[in-house]
Amino acid sequence: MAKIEFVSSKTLQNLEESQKINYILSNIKKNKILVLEEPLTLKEEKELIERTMNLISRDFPGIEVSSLGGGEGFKETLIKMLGGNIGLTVIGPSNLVKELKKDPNKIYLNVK
Amino acid sequence: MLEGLFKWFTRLFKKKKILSLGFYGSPNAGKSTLANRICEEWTGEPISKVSEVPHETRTVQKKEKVVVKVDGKELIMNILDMPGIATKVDYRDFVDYGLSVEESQQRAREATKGIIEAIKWLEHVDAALVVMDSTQDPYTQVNITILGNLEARNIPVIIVANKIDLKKSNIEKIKEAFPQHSIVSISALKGEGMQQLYKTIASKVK
Repeated sequence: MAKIEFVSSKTLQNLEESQKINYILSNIKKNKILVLEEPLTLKEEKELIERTMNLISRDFPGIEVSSLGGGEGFKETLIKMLGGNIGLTVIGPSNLVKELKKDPNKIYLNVK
Repeated sequence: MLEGLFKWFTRLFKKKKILSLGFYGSPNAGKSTLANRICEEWTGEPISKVSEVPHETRTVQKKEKVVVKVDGKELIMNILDMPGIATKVDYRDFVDYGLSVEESQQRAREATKGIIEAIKWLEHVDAALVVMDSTQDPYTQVNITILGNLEARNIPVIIVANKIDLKKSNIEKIKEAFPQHSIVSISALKGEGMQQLYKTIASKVK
């Protein structure tokens, strides 16, 4: 049975980048699908892939991830500075998530 | 006259810049086939092994000082064929291609290291070709992450829509997904679109 956890940006706001990645990966390794109330930054996306690669084993083949919104332009930075969020992220273990398909404004989650 | 002499001296002593060109993309997008086509055309030698089994390239393959002539000008490039970037590497996928379990697990271990190496290189290339299989959905998080990180560093990027010789090829989907980027359609296997690719590289890095 798939377990989906919706994580508010408040939960993540005081976490440093590496702590945020730790939080994501430790939960995914518990076979949870996470829906974060914010997109990942480019740096976080990159670090997430790197850190995932270091964890790959027979039982953990990796992740599926997709973000909506984000961008690091003036508008996005301003909204973030004012405490707002524009987007979300869906992440799950690939042995549970068959496919995460992104249409520019929607994410389709297909669970095994 | 003096100006002409100065230009002549500048040209004589100015070291020609060597461009580091990284080939990025998902596994099996055709990066190594494209890198081989360019290297074979201009040096007579391939750079990488190619295979239908994903993650054939598991370390960065380099070919130095490849001289490409475009419209009478020379481009000198260090070609860097990167391992395909993915968010998952399941050894069972390799077993399906006929590899033994042991070989598959070894390949998976090497592939994960290759992905980390390719990501680290994102900061060190002068320009990048992001190769996409035009028969597949281009709007993947891997493509978005690669493009975003290159853009953030102001590294010139060209999207290469590969495999246009296949019936299922859909270049429009790539154009719709990444309208802000230069896109060149090619078949690395058949050699279609290569001149346009060389011209686009030359115009992006001048």
